[in-house]
Amino acid sequence: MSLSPSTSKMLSLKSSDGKVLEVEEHVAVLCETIKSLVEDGCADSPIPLANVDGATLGNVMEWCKKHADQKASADDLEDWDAEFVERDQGELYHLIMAANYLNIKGLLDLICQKVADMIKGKHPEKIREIFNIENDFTPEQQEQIRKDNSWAFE
Amino acid sequence: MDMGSLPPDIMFEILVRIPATVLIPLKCVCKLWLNLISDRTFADAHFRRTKSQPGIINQRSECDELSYLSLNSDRKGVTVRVYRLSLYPEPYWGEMLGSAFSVLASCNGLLLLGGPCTGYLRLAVCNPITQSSMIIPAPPFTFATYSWALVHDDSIRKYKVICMKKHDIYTPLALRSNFQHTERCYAFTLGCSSSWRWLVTSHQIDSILSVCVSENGKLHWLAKFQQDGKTFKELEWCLYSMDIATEIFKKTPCPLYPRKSKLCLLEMNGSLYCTVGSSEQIGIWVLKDGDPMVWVKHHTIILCATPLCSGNMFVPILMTDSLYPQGTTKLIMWHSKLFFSYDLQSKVMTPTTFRSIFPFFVVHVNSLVHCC
Repeated sequence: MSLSPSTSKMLSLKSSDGKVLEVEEHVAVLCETIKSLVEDGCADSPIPLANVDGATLGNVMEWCKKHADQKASADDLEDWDAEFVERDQGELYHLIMAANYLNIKGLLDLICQKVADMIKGKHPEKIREIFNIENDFTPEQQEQIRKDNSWAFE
Repeated sequence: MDMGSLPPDIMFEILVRIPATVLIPLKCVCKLWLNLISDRTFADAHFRRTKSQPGIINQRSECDELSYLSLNSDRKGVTVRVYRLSLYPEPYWGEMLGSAFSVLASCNGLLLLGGPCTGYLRLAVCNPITQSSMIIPAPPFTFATYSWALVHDDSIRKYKVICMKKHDIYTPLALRSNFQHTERCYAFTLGCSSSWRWLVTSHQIDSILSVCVSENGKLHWLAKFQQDGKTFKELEWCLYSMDIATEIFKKTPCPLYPRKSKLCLLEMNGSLYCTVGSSEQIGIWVLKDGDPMVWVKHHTIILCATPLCSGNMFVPILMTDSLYPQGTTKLIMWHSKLFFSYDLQSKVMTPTTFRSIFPFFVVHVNSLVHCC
Protein backbone atom coordinates (compact mmCIF):
# COMPACT_ATOMS: atom_id res chain seq x y z
CA MET A 1 0.00 0.00 0.00
CA SER A 2 1.44 3.36 -0.92
CA LEU A 3 0.78 6.39 1.22
CA SER A 4 -0.01 9.26 -1.11
CA PRO A 5 0.49 12.80 0.22
CA SER A 6 -3.07 13.95 -0.51
CA THR A 7 -4.73 11.25 1.58
CA SER A 8 -2.10 11.12 4.31
CA LYS A 9 -3.49 11.50 7.80
CA MET A 10 -1.78 13.36 10.63
CA LEU A 11 0.23 11.77 13.43
CA SER A 12 1.09 13.52 16.66
CA LEU A 13 4.57 13.00 18.10
CA LYS A 14 5.44 13.91 21.67
CA SER A 15 9.02 14.92 22.43
CA SER A 16 10.95 14.24 25.65
CA ASP A 17 10.27 17.80 26.87
CA GLY A 18 6.54 17.43 26.34
CA LYS A 19 6.13 19.28 23.03
CA VAL A 20 3.60 17.79 20.63
CA LEU A 21 4.26 17.98 16.90
CA GLU A 22 1.61 17.25 14.26
CA VAL A 23 3.20 15.53 11.27
CA GLU A 24 1.73 14.01 8.11
CA GLU A 25 1.91 10.25 8.28
CA HIS A 26 3.76 9.82 4.95
CA VAL A 27 6.49 12.13 6.34
CA ALA A 28 6.74 10.52 9.78
CA VAL A 29 7.03 6.97 8.40
CA LEU A 30 10.49 7.82 7.07
CA CYS A 31 11.39 6.97 10.65
CA GLU A 32 11.44 3.17 10.66
CA THR A 33 10.61 3.20 14.38
CA ILE A 34 7.38 5.15 13.75
CA LYS A 35 6.60 3.13 10.61
CA SER A 36 6.50 -0.12 12.57
CA LEU A 37 4.22 1.49 15.18
CA VAL A 38 1.86 2.62 12.39
CA GLU A 39 1.92 -0.82 10.80
CA ASP A 40 1.14 -2.44 14.16
CA GLY A 41 -1.75 -0.02 14.65
CA CYS A 42 -0.22 1.56 17.77
CA ALA A 43 -0.01 5.10 16.40
CA ASP A 44 -3.34 6.54 17.53
CA SER A 45 -2.48 8.38 20.71
CA PRO A 46 0.39 10.93 20.64
CA ILE A 47 3.51 8.80 20.10
CA PRO A 48 5.92 9.42 22.98
CA LEU A 49 9.54 9.82 21.84
CA ALA A 50 11.42 9.72 25.13
CA ASN A 51 14.90 10.22 23.63
CA VAL A 52 14.25 13.19 21.33
CA ASP A 53 13.79 16.80 22.49
CA GLY A 54 11.36 19.18 20.80
CA ALA A 55 13.94 21.26 18.89
CA THR A 56 15.67 18.17 17.48
CA LEU A 57 12.35 16.55 16.59
CA GLY A 58 11.46 19.69 14.61
CA ASN A 59 14.78 19.47 12.71
CA VAL A 60 14.32 15.75 12.04
CA MET A 61 10.80 16.25 10.69
CA GLU A 62 12.01 19.11 8.50
CA TRP A 63 14.48 16.68 6.92
CA CYS A 64 11.82 13.96 6.58
CA LYS A 65 9.40 16.40 4.95
CA LYS A 66 11.97 17.39 2.33
CA HIS A 67 12.86 13.78 1.63
CA ALA A 68 9.23 12.62 1.46
CA ASP A 69 8.62 15.20 -1.27
CA GLN A 70 8.61 13.14 -4.46
CA LYS A 71 9.05 16.21 -6.64
CA ALA A 72 12.53 16.97 -5.27
CA SER A 73 15.32 16.07 -7.72
CA ALA A 74 18.50 14.29 -6.60
CA ASP A 75 20.64 17.41 -7.20
CA ASP A 76 18.13 19.54 -5.32
CA LEU A 77 18.18 17.16 -2.33
CA GLU A 78 21.98 17.07 -2.35
CA ASP A 79 22.19 20.89 -2.14
CA TRP A 80 19.45 21.02 0.49
CA ASP A 81 21.20 18.33 2.59
CA ALA A 82 24.52 20.17 2.39
CA GLU A 83 22.83 23.23 3.86
CA PHE A 84 20.87 21.21 6.42
CA VAL A 85 24.04 19.84 8.07
CA GLU A 86 25.62 23.29 8.49
CA ARG A 87 25.00 23.29 12.24
CA ASP A 88 26.97 23.46 15.44
CA GLN A 89 28.32 20.33 17.08
CA GLY A 90 25.61 20.20 19.75
CA GLU A 91 22.81 20.15 17.19
CA LEU A 92 24.63 17.54 15.08
CA TYR A 93 25.08 15.40 18.20
CA HIS A 94 21.35 15.49 18.96
CA LEU A 95 20.45 14.84 15.31
CA ILE A 96 22.73 11.82 15.09
CA MET A 97 21.29 10.36 18.33
CA ALA A 98 17.72 11.02 17.11
CA ALA A 99 18.37 9.54 13.66
CA ASN A 100 19.77 6.45 15.36
CA TYR A 101 16.85 6.17 17.81
CA LEU A 102 14.19 6.78 15.17
CA ASN A 103 16.08 4.53 12.71
CA ILE A 104 16.28 6.93 9.75
CA LYS A 105 19.07 5.49 7.63
CA GLY A 106 19.32 8.40 5.18
CA LEU A 107 19.64 11.02 7.90
CA LEU A 108 22.06 8.91 9.94
CA ASP A 109 24.23 8.44 6.81
CA LEU A 110 24.16 12.17 6.13
CA ILE A 111 25.20 13.28 9.62
CA CYS A 112 27.81 10.52 10.02
CA GLN A 113 29.35 11.67 6.72
CA LYS A 114 29.28 15.27 7.92
CA VAL A 115 31.07 14.39 11.16
CA ALA A 116 33.54 12.19 9.21
CA ASP A 117 34.30 15.20 6.97
CA MET A 118 34.87 17.33 10.09
CA ILE A 119 37.43 14.77 11.32
CA LYS A 120 39.29 14.38 7.99
CA GLY A 121 42.45 16.42 7.71
CA LYS A 122 42.62 17.32 11.40
CA HIS A 123 45.44 16.54 13.77
CA PRO A 124 44.52 14.07 16.58
CA GLU A 125 45.13 16.77 19.17
CA LYS A 126 42.76 19.16 17.39
CA ILE A 127 40.10 16.42 17.18
CA ARG A 128 40.37 15.79 20.93
CA GLU A 129 39.98 19.49 21.52
CA ILE A 130 36.92 20.15 19.32
CA PHE A 131 35.13 16.90 20.23
CA ASN A 132 36.14 17.14 23.90
CA ILE A 133 37.70 13.67 23.95
CA GLU A 134 39.97 12.76 26.83
CA ASN A 135 43.44 11.46 25.94
CA ASP A 136 43.43 8.24 27.97
CA PHE A 137 46.85 7.00 26.81
CA THR A 138 50.04 7.10 28.84
CA PRO A 139 52.92 8.89 27.06
CA GLU A 140 54.56 5.46 26.55
CA GLN A 141 51.46 4.02 24.85
CA GLN A 142 51.19 7.11 22.68
CA GLU A 143 54.83 6.74 21.61
CA GLN A 144 54.31 3.04 20.79
CA ILE A 145 51.34 3.80 18.49
CA ARG A 146 53.42 6.44 16.73
CA LYS A 147 56.30 4.01 16.31
CA ASP A 148 54.07 1.22 14.94
CA ASN A 149 52.57 3.54 12.36
CA SER A 150 55.53 5.83 11.77
CA TRP A 151 54.82 6.46 8.06
CA ALA A 152 51.42 7.95 8.83
CA PHE A 153 52.83 10.51 11.26
CA GLU A 154 55.57 11.85 9.01
CA MET B 1 26.78 17.44 24.29
CA ASP B 2 30.02 16.64 22.50
CA MET B 3 30.80 14.12 19.81
CA GLY B 4 33.25 12.56 22.27
CA SER B 5 30.31 11.11 24.21
CA LEU B 6 28.72 9.34 21.23
CA PRO B 7 28.15 5.61 21.81
CA PRO B 8 30.80 3.29 20.23
CA ASP B 9 28.41 1.91 17.58
CA ILE B 10 27.75 5.40 16.21
CA MET B 11 31.45 6.30 16.40
CA PHE B 12 32.04 3.12 14.36
CA GLU B 13 29.57 4.41 11.73
CA ILE B 14 31.45 7.74 11.54
CA LEU B 15 35.01 6.38 11.43
CA VAL B 16 34.10 3.76 8.82
CA ARG B 17 33.50 6.68 6.40
CA ILE B 18 37.04 8.01 6.70
CA PRO B 19 39.69 6.95 4.12
CA ALA B 20 42.20 4.36 5.36
CA THR B 21 45.18 6.70 4.92
CA VAL B 22 43.58 9.28 7.21
CA LEU B 23 42.48 6.73 9.84
CA ILE B 24 45.92 5.53 10.94
CA PRO B 25 47.01 8.75 12.73
CA LEU B 26 43.58 8.80 14.45
CA LYS B 27 44.56 5.66 16.40
CA CYS B 28 46.21 7.94 18.95
CA VAL B 29 43.12 10.05 19.68
CA CYS B 30 41.89 7.76 22.47
CA LYS B 31 41.65 4.08 23.43
CA LEU B 32 38.13 3.71 21.99
CA TRP B 33 39.27 4.95 18.57
CA LEU B 34 42.44 2.79 18.69
CA ASN B 35 40.35 -0.31 19.45
CA LEU B 36 37.75 0.50 16.79
CA ILE B 37 40.30 1.20 14.04
CA SER B 38 42.43 -1.87 14.87
CA ASP B 39 39.44 -4.25 14.97
CA ARG B 40 38.93 -6.85 12.22
CA THR B 41 35.15 -6.29 12.05
CA PHE B 42 35.85 -2.60 11.49
CA ALA B 43 38.47 -3.39 8.81
CA ASP B 44 35.95 -5.58 6.97
CA ALA B 45 33.12 -3.02 7.22
CA HIS B 46 35.50 -0.27 6.09
CA PHE B 47 36.61 -2.36 3.11
CA ARG B 48 33.00 -3.14 2.08
CA ARG B 49 32.34 0.62 1.92
CA THR B 50 35.50 1.54 0.03
CA LYS B 51 36.02 -1.42 -2.28
CA SER B 52 34.10 0.19 -5.14
CA GLN B 53 36.04 3.43 -4.81
CA PRO B 54 38.80 3.34 -7.34
CA GLY B 55 42.49 3.81 -6.91
CA ILE B 56 45.47 2.97 -9.04
CA ILE B 57 49.06 2.18 -8.16
CA ASN B 58 51.53 3.57 -10.61
CA GLN B 59 55.00 2.20 -10.07
CA ARG B 60 57.79 4.32 -11.50
CA SER B 61 60.27 1.51 -11.75
CA GLU B 62 61.53 -0.92 -9.18
CA CYS B 63 61.76 1.18 -6.05
CA ASP B 64 60.60 1.26 -2.45
CA GLU B 65 58.00 3.94 -2.92
CA LEU B 66 54.80 3.91 -4.92
CA SER B 67 52.42 6.54 -6.21
CA TYR B 68 48.84 5.85 -5.20
CA LEU B 69 46.39 7.67 -7.43
CA SER B 70 43.08 8.31 -5.79
CA LEU B 71 40.31 9.26 -8.21
CA ASN B 72 37.80 11.86 -7.14
CA SER B 73 35.10 13.61 -9.08
CA ASP B 74 32.56 16.38 -8.79
CA ARG B 75 30.52 18.48 -11.18
CA LYS B 76 33.72 19.87 -12.70
CA GLY B 77 35.20 16.50 -13.67
CA VAL B 78 37.61 13.80 -12.53
CA THR B 79 40.65 14.77 -10.50
CA VAL B 80 43.58 12.59 -9.51
CA ARG B 81 45.21 13.02 -6.12
CA VAL B 82 48.60 11.39 -5.65
CA TYR B 83 49.71 9.84 -2.37
CA ARG B 84 53.02 8.19 -1.61
CA LEU B 85 52.87 4.65 -0.28
CA SER B 86 55.94 3.48 1.57
CA LEU B 87 56.86 -0.15 1.06
CA TYR B 88 59.34 -0.78 3.83
CA PRO B 89 57.14 -1.93 6.69
CA GLU B 90 59.96 -3.91 8.26
CA PRO B 91 63.62 -2.92 8.43
CA TYR B 92 64.73 -6.37 7.27
CA TRP B 93 62.65 -6.20 4.10
CA GLY B 94 65.48 -4.65 2.16
CA GLU B 95 67.58 -7.70 2.90
CA MET B 96 64.81 -10.21 2.32
CA LEU B 97 63.42 -8.80 -0.90
CA GLY B 98 66.45 -7.11 -2.33
CA SER B 99 66.53 -3.41 -2.84
CA ALA B 100 64.43 -3.52 -5.98
CA PHE B 101 61.04 -5.14 -6.11
CA SER B 102 57.80 -4.60 -7.89
CA VAL B 103 54.11 -4.77 -7.16
CA LEU B 104 52.92 -8.00 -8.74
CA ALA B 105 49.27 -7.94 -7.72
CA SER B 106 46.69 -6.35 -5.41
CA CYS B 107 43.68 -7.78 -3.57
CA ASN B 108 41.44 -6.17 -0.91
CA GLY B 109 44.11 -3.57 -0.12
CA LEU B 110 46.95 -6.10 0.16
CA LEU B 111 49.90 -6.01 -2.23
CA LEU B 112 51.91 -8.94 -3.52
CA LEU B 113 55.51 -7.78 -3.87
CA GLY B 114 58.30 -9.61 -5.60
CA GLY B 115 61.91 -9.02 -6.35
CA PRO B 116 64.95 -11.00 -7.42
CA CYS B 117 67.41 -11.63 -4.61
CA THR B 118 70.68 -13.47 -5.31
CA GLY B 119 69.11 -15.55 -8.03
CA TYR B 120 65.86 -16.33 -6.22
CA LEU B 121 62.49 -14.75 -6.45
CA ARG B 122 61.54 -13.18 -3.12
CA LEU B 123 57.86 -12.68 -2.38
CA ALA B 124 55.90 -10.88 0.32
CA VAL B 125 52.36 -9.75 0.98
CA CYS B 126 51.84 -6.47 2.77
CA ASN B 127 49.20 -3.91 3.58
CA PRO B 128 50.96 -0.58 2.98
CA ILE B 129 48.44 1.23 5.20
CA THR B 130 48.54 -0.91 8.34
CA GLN B 131 52.11 -2.02 7.55
CA SER B 132 51.22 -5.60 8.39
CA SER B 133 53.19 -8.00 6.24
CA MET B 134 54.32 -11.55 5.73
CA ILE B 135 57.13 -13.13 3.76
CA ILE B 136 56.14 -15.93 1.41
CA PRO B 137 58.48 -18.89 0.88
CA ALA B 138 60.41 -18.89 -2.37
CA PRO B 139 58.43 -20.57 -5.16
CA PRO B 140 59.75 -23.80 -6.69
CA PHE B 141 60.89 -22.23 -9.96
CA THR B 142 63.25 -19.61 -11.31
CA PHE B 143 64.11 -17.87 -14.54
CA ALA B 144 60.72 -17.63 -16.15
CA THR B 145 58.22 -14.86 -16.44
CA TYR B 146 54.99 -15.42 -14.61
CA SER B 147 51.63 -13.76 -14.38
CA TRP B 148 50.81 -13.16 -10.71
CA ALA B 149 47.57 -12.87 -8.80
CA LEU B 150 46.57 -12.43 -5.18
CA VAL B 151 43.03 -13.65 -4.58
CA HIS B 152 40.71 -14.25 -1.65
CA ASP B 153 39.17 -17.70 -1.41
CA ASP B 154 35.82 -16.99 0.26
CA SER B 155 35.17 -20.70 0.88
CA ILE B 156 38.12 -21.03 3.28
CA ARG B 157 38.52 -17.29 4.09
CA LYS B 158 42.16 -17.28 3.11
CA TYR B 159 44.28 -15.47 0.56
CA LYS B 160 46.01 -17.38 -2.22
CA VAL B 161 48.92 -16.40 -4.41
CA ILE B 162 48.44 -17.83 -7.91
CA CYS B 163 51.09 -17.69 -10.59
CA MET B 164 50.93 -18.85 -14.16
CA LYS B 165 53.90 -19.16 -16.51
CA LYS B 166 53.54 -16.79 -19.45
CA HIS B 167 55.46 -17.84 -22.53
CA ASP B 168 58.49 -19.97 -21.93
CA ILE B 169 61.06 -18.33 -24.16
CA TYR B 170 63.60 -20.96 -23.12
CA THR B 171 61.60 -23.78 -24.68
CA PRO B 172 62.56 -24.25 -28.33
CA LEU B 173 59.58 -24.32 -30.69
CA ALA B 174 60.17 -27.98 -31.53
CA LEU B 175 59.71 -28.99 -27.89
CA ARG B 176 56.57 -26.98 -27.28
CA SER B 177 54.32 -29.92 -28.13
CA ASN B 178 55.42 -31.51 -24.86
CA PHE B 179 54.50 -28.37 -23.09
CA GLN B 180 51.07 -29.53 -21.94
CA HIS B 181 52.71 -31.84 -19.44
CA THR B 182 55.00 -29.27 -17.89
CA GLU B 183 54.05 -27.56 -14.69
CA ARG B 184 52.61 -24.21 -15.50
CA CYS B 185 50.45 -22.91 -12.65
CA TYR B 186 51.19 -22.82 -8.91
CA ALA B 187 49.28 -21.77 -5.82
CA PHE B 188 50.26 -20.85 -2.29
CA THR B 189 47.68 -20.40 0.49
CA LEU B 190 48.50 -17.78 3.12
CA GLY B 191 48.07 -18.42 6.81
CA CYS B 192 48.31 -22.18 6.91
CA SER B 193 51.51 -24.13 7.07
CA SER B 194 51.25 -25.25 3.47
CA SER B 195 53.76 -25.03 0.67
CA TRP B 196 53.53 -24.22 -3.04
CA ARG B 197 51.13 -26.53 -4.89
CA TRP B 198 51.07 -27.34 -8.58
CA LEU B 199 47.66 -26.80 -10.19
CA VAL B 200 46.64 -29.05 -13.07
CA THR B 201 45.72 -26.86 -16.02
CA SER B 202 45.11 -29.76 -18.49
CA HIS B 203 44.72 -27.43 -21.47
CA GLN B 204 47.46 -27.01 -24.08
CA ILE B 205 48.36 -23.41 -23.39
CA ASP B 206 50.73 -21.70 -25.77
CA SER B 207 51.06 -18.41 -23.92
CA ILE B 208 49.11 -16.10 -21.68
CA LEU B 209 48.91 -12.33 -21.27
CA SER B 210 50.40 -11.02 -18.07
CA VAL B 211 47.46 -9.19 -16.51
CA CYS B 212 44.72 -11.27 -14.94
CA VAL B 213 41.52 -10.18 -13.27
CA SER B 214 39.47 -11.78 -10.53
CA GLU B 215 35.72 -11.49 -10.29
CA ASN B 216 33.01 -13.38 -8.39
CA GLY B 217 35.28 -16.15 -7.12
CA LYS B 218 37.03 -16.66 -10.44
CA LEU B 219 40.40 -15.63 -11.81
CA HIS B 220 40.71 -14.88 -15.53
CA TRP B 221 43.60 -14.72 -17.95
CA LEU B 222 43.77 -14.08 -21.67
CA ALA B 223 45.44 -17.10 -23.22
CA LYS B 224 46.32 -18.68 -26.54
CA PHE B 225 45.98 -22.45 -26.86
CA GLN B 226 48.03 -24.69 -29.12
CA GLN B 227 46.53 -25.92 -32.33
CA ASP B 228 48.21 -28.20 -34.84
CA GLY B 229 49.93 -26.40 -37.67
CA LYS B 230 49.20 -22.93 -36.34
CA THR B 231 51.83 -20.40 -35.35
CA PHE B 232 51.48 -18.06 -32.38
CA LYS B 233 50.26 -15.23 -34.59
CA GLU B 234 47.50 -17.37 -36.09
CA LEU B 235 46.13 -18.52 -32.73
CA GLU B 236 43.06 -16.82 -31.27
CA TRP B 237 42.98 -15.30 -27.78
CA CYS B 238 40.66 -17.10 -25.37
CA LEU B 239 39.45 -16.41 -21.84
CA TYR B 240 41.01 -18.88 -19.41
CA SER B 241 39.25 -18.97 -16.05
CA MET B 242 39.99 -20.67 -12.76
CA ASP B 243 37.48 -21.21 -9.97
CA ILE B 244 39.34 -19.83 -6.94
CA ALA B 245 37.79 -22.35 -4.51
CA THR B 246 37.86 -25.56 -6.58
CA GLU B 247 40.93 -24.61 -8.67
CA ILE B 248 39.27 -26.02 -11.77
CA PHE B 249 40.08 -24.35 -15.10
CA LYS B 250 37.71 -23.51 -17.94
CA LYS B 251 38.11 -22.15 -21.46
CA THR B 252 35.72 -19.60 -23.05
CA PRO B 253 36.10 -17.92 -26.45
CA CYS B 254 36.82 -14.16 -26.44
CA PRO B 255 34.56 -11.63 -28.14
CA LEU B 256 35.24 -11.39 -31.89
CA TYR B 257 38.12 -9.05 -32.53
CA PRO B 258 39.67 -7.66 -35.69
CA ARG B 259 43.34 -8.24 -36.42
CA LYS B 260 45.84 -5.98 -34.66
CA SER B 261 43.38 -5.05 -31.92
CA LYS B 262 44.34 -5.20 -28.28
CA LEU B 263 42.34 -7.14 -25.70
CA CYS B 264 42.13 -6.20 -22.05
CA LEU B 265 40.13 -7.59 -19.10
CA LEU B 266 38.45 -5.36 -16.51
CA GLU B 267 36.20 -6.03 -13.54
CA MET B 268 33.36 -3.89 -12.22
CA ASN B 269 30.80 -4.78 -9.52
CA GLY B 270 31.30 -8.51 -9.93
CA SER B 271 31.06 -8.53 -13.73
CA LEU B 272 33.85 -9.25 -16.18
CA TYR B 273 34.40 -6.90 -19.12
CA CYS B 274 36.67 -7.29 -22.13
CA THR B 275 37.80 -4.29 -24.13
CA VAL B 276 38.77 -4.73 -27.76
CA GLY B 277 40.82 -1.72 -28.81
CA SER B 278 42.11 -0.54 -32.15
CA SER B 279 43.34 2.90 -33.14
CA GLU B 280 39.83 3.76 -34.39
CA GLN B 281 37.56 2.39 -31.68
CA ILE B 282 37.28 0.49 -28.41
CA GLY B 283 34.53 -2.09 -28.00
CA ILE B 284 33.47 -3.00 -24.48
CA TRP B 285 31.92 -6.45 -23.97
CA VAL B 286 30.46 -7.93 -20.81
CA LEU B 287 30.45 -11.65 -19.95
CA LYS B 288 26.94 -12.92 -19.19
CA ASP B 289 26.61 -15.92 -16.90
CA GLY B 290 25.09 -19.12 -18.19
CA ASP B 291 26.22 -22.33 -19.84
CA PRO B 292 27.97 -21.53 -22.06
CA MET B 293 28.83 -18.01 -20.92
CA VAL B 294 28.39 -15.44 -23.68
CA TRP B 295 29.89 -12.03 -24.42
CA VAL B 296 27.39 -9.21 -25.00
CA LYS B 297 28.43 -5.91 -26.58
CA HIS B 298 28.09 -3.24 -23.91
CA HIS B 299 29.43 -0.07 -25.51
CA THR B 300 31.55 1.26 -28.38
CA ILE B 301 33.92 4.19 -28.06
CA ILE B 302 34.58 5.87 -31.41
CA LEU B 303 38.04 7.35 -31.06
CA CYS B 304 38.07 9.15 -34.43
CA ALA B 305 35.33 11.40 -33.08
CA THR B 306 37.82 12.78 -30.57
CA PRO B 307 40.75 14.96 -31.61
CA LEU B 308 42.95 12.82 -29.36
CA CYS B 309 43.29 9.98 -31.84
CA SER B 310 46.99 9.88 -32.66
CA GLY B 311 47.61 6.29 -33.65
CA ASN B 312 48.83 5.22 -30.21
CA MET B 313 46.56 2.83 -28.38
CA PHE B 314 44.56 3.79 -25.34
CA VAL B 315 45.33 1.49 -22.41
CA PRO B 316 42.18 0.74 -20.38
CA ILE B 317 43.02 0.67 -16.67
CA LEU B 318 39.83 0.75 -14.68
CA MET B 319 36.08 0.87 -15.10
CA THR B 320 33.99 2.34 -12.28
CA ASP B 321 30.51 3.62 -11.50
CA SER B 322 31.42 5.25 -8.19
CA LEU B 323 32.47 8.60 -9.65
CA TYR B 324 30.21 11.64 -10.03
CA PRO B 325 27.53 11.84 -11.38
CA GLN B 326 25.70 8.89 -9.81
CA GLY B 327 24.49 6.18 -12.13
CA THR B 328 27.17 6.75 -14.75
CA THR B 329 30.05 4.49 -15.70
CA LYS B 330 33.52 5.77 -16.42
CA LEU B 331 36.45 4.12 -18.11
CA ILE B 332 39.86 5.38 -17.02
CA MET B 333 42.53 5.01 -19.69
CA TRP B 334 46.18 5.89 -20.24
CA HIS B 335 47.33 7.34 -23.54
CA SER B 336 50.48 9.26 -24.45
CA LYS B 337 51.51 9.88 -20.80
CA LEU B 338 48.08 11.24 -19.88
CA PHE B 339 45.12 9.85 -17.95
CA PHE B 340 41.71 10.10 -19.60
CA SER B 341 38.26 9.58 -18.23
CA TYR B 342 35.57 8.44 -20.65
CA ASP B 343 31.93 8.71 -19.61
CA LEU B 344 29.90 5.85 -21.11
CA GLN B 345 26.61 7.76 -20.79
CA SER B 346 27.57 11.15 -22.21
CA LYS B 347 30.23 9.57 -24.51
CA VAL B 348 32.62 12.35 -23.59
CA MET B 349 36.36 11.79 -23.16
CA THR B 350 38.14 14.21 -20.85
CA PRO B 351 41.82 14.35 -19.93
CA THR B 352 42.66 14.46 -16.21
CA THR B 353 45.49 16.51 -14.77
CA PHE B 354 47.64 13.47 -14.04
CA ARG B 355 50.63 12.58 -16.21
CA SER B 356 52.87 9.55 -15.95
CA ILE B 357 55.44 8.18 -18.34
CA PHE B 358 55.36 4.75 -16.68
CA PRO B 359 52.61 2.59 -18.19
CA PHE B 360 52.53 0.24 -15.21
CA PHE B 361 49.25 0.17 -13.32
CA VAL B 362 47.65 -1.99 -10.66
CA VAL B 363 44.09 -1.31 -9.52
CA HIS B 364 44.22 -1.03 -5.75
CA VAL B 365 42.02 0.03 -2.84
CA ASN B 366 43.50 1.34 0.39
CA SER B 367 42.15 -0.77 3.25
CA LEU B 368 42.87 -1.88 6.81
CA VAL B 369 42.49 -5.58 5.92
CA HIS B 370 44.89 -8.06 7.57
CA CYS B 371 47.16 -10.43 5.62
CA CYS B 372 45.86 -13.55 7.35
